[in-house]
Amino acid sequence: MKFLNPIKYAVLITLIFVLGNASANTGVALVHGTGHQTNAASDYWQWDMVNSIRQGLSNQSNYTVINCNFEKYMWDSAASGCLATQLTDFINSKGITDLVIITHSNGGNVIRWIMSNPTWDSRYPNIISKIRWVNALAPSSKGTPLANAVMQGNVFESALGWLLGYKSDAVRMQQTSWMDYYNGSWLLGTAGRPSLPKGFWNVVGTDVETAIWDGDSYCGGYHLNVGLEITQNWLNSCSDGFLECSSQEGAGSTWFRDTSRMNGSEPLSHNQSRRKCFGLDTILRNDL
Amino acid sequence: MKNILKTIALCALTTSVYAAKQAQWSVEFDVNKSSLISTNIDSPKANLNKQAISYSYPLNSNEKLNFDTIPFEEKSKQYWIDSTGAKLINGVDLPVTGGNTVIRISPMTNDKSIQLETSMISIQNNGEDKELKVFADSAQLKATGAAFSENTVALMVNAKAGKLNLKVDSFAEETPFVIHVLEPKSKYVLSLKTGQSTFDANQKISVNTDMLFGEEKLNAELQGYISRPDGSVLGNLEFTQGSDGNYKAEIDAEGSQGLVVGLWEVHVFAKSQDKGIDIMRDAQTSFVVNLNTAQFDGQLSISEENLKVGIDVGLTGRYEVRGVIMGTDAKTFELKPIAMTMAAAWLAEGKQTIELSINEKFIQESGLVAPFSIKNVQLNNQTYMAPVQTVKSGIDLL
Repeated sequence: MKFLNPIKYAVLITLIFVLGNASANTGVALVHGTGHQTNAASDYWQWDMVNSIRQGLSNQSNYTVINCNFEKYMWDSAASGCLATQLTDFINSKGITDLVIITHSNGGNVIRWIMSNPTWDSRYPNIISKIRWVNALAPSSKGTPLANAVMQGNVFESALGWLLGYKSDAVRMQQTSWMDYYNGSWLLGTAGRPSLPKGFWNVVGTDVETAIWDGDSYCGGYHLNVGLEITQNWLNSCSDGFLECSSQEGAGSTWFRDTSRMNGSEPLSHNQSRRKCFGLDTILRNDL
Repeated sequence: MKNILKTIALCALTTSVYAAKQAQWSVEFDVNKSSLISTNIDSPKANLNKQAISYSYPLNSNEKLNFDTIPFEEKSKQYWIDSTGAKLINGVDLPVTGGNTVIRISPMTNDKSIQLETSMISIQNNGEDKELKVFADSAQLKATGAAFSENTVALMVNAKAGKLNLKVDSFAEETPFVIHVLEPKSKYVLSLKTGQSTFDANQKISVNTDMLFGEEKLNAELQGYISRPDGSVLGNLEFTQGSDGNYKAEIDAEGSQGLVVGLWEVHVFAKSQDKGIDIMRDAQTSFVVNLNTAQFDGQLSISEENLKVGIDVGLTGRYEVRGVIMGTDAKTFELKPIAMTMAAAWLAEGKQTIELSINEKFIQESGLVAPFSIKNVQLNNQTYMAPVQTVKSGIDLL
């Protein structure tokens, strides 16, 4: 409980007060980022992360790992529609009354679509009513200049690249100017916009360890120094190697920045923020 | 916790403060039904749900809301050029302004066997051989999480202002390539933005662009075009330079489209010269055009805790109305948020209404008093996922 943000703590106390602790049936859903997942527990999160997090549940079977097509736009039936189906099935089959959602990267945008557009689909209001809060790991709330870099270019690249299937709708959507429009119109929770109906708490990756001699650089199976030395040229100094901090903190509230909570004050690269690295799993487990 | 208990206590003590009997739009509309789109548009549909859904939830009265929409400003330090294997074998000149320069080389083919290696690439800077500071292959680039194409590679060199000559050996001459150049620390920036983030269907789309060296505006040769959400080209942009040095262009927003497959985009390609060096920059930004398939008809009526909003529908589909219920702080007389309210329904062509919930409980719990209003009232077409109309000043509840 010591890791809880004071506001999160107040929300939790209120929920206990309103619902009654004994009656709450807590569940957790893990929502992946960009990509078409069919086995996200193994391929995206890895089981050691999933199993560690669900230890925080009084009923450890009350978890679901979402598998949807987040190569599509967030409003697409294969993206938010699929997420709504799997969350609704989970809520109904397990009798979940208190749902914590953990998202990574673009998964934050898809759940934010549902929370911002409850009139889009009759399943959305019920899902929102069950959500306690969303813990958004490195959400791409304001997009990334790297999406601009791979999408933009001259007419030739865009046109041919599109035909060759190099780029997905989701990458296109995460261009910075595109997310600026969606944040100002269809999505809620950014500065100056009405807040979301439930809390959206960001975990922010601020830096990347790339030292070849530092074993921490390898956590999660990633050692990215060469690629990052290129991609960081598109990003400012506060980034997780894929997203700038300003994007990760662009919607909702900052729960914490990596170095303030990770073991050894380690930063979380974009891939490490979905893996069992530096005690992240324990913090998420203790938040259930 | 203290605040929560205080709120609960206030709720118990507060009597009803909301008793609006009437509602009126804060502005008069130019209701012109003949301008509405009434035939199917050639655009994909995203939502054919026929079920009416209403939703509202309380907002914290301390939230600072800003209903102004500011167009996004793109600031580019990069450009792209087309090339071919044949040209690269002979060497391609790339203008650079000096400093660390990232060059991305993308063969435009599905042939994954085309994988460039460092030994195949040589670079000269103003006639002198340059060593690569960094070279990353496609696997290393993709491992960062960015969606680089399968056989793209990137390298970085520290260059002096002038020309980089990029030479790549040993691959098919007919293979098309795209070369992408980024100068991350350069002071030469192409700024690009539209006049508004959202245009009406009958408005001219205005585009503003500047080639900048720090704060200084430079002369530039500019080309550009606007693409619709489906990728079709609306038209080329003809830029004129104003007395302030800004370059501007305008074009009519023709060809209504939904946003299910994307946004409208502006693409600008710039060439400039400064202190004897060539500068190239490309920039792209996005905007939207309201889809006038319906409009608020100016009619409102209140019953119990519901507000019926009248809508002229030109094209049958799923429409949503949303807005922010606001009340007045009795001490500061500031207008503060109370709740978000939204409702959607399938509406057939003709005179229709959508009912917004005005939850009295939220109003009581807010502690705010009359006058109440609903601000930033938006009409959206959910079928085509497009904005239709926004009235920021909204509706007064009397």
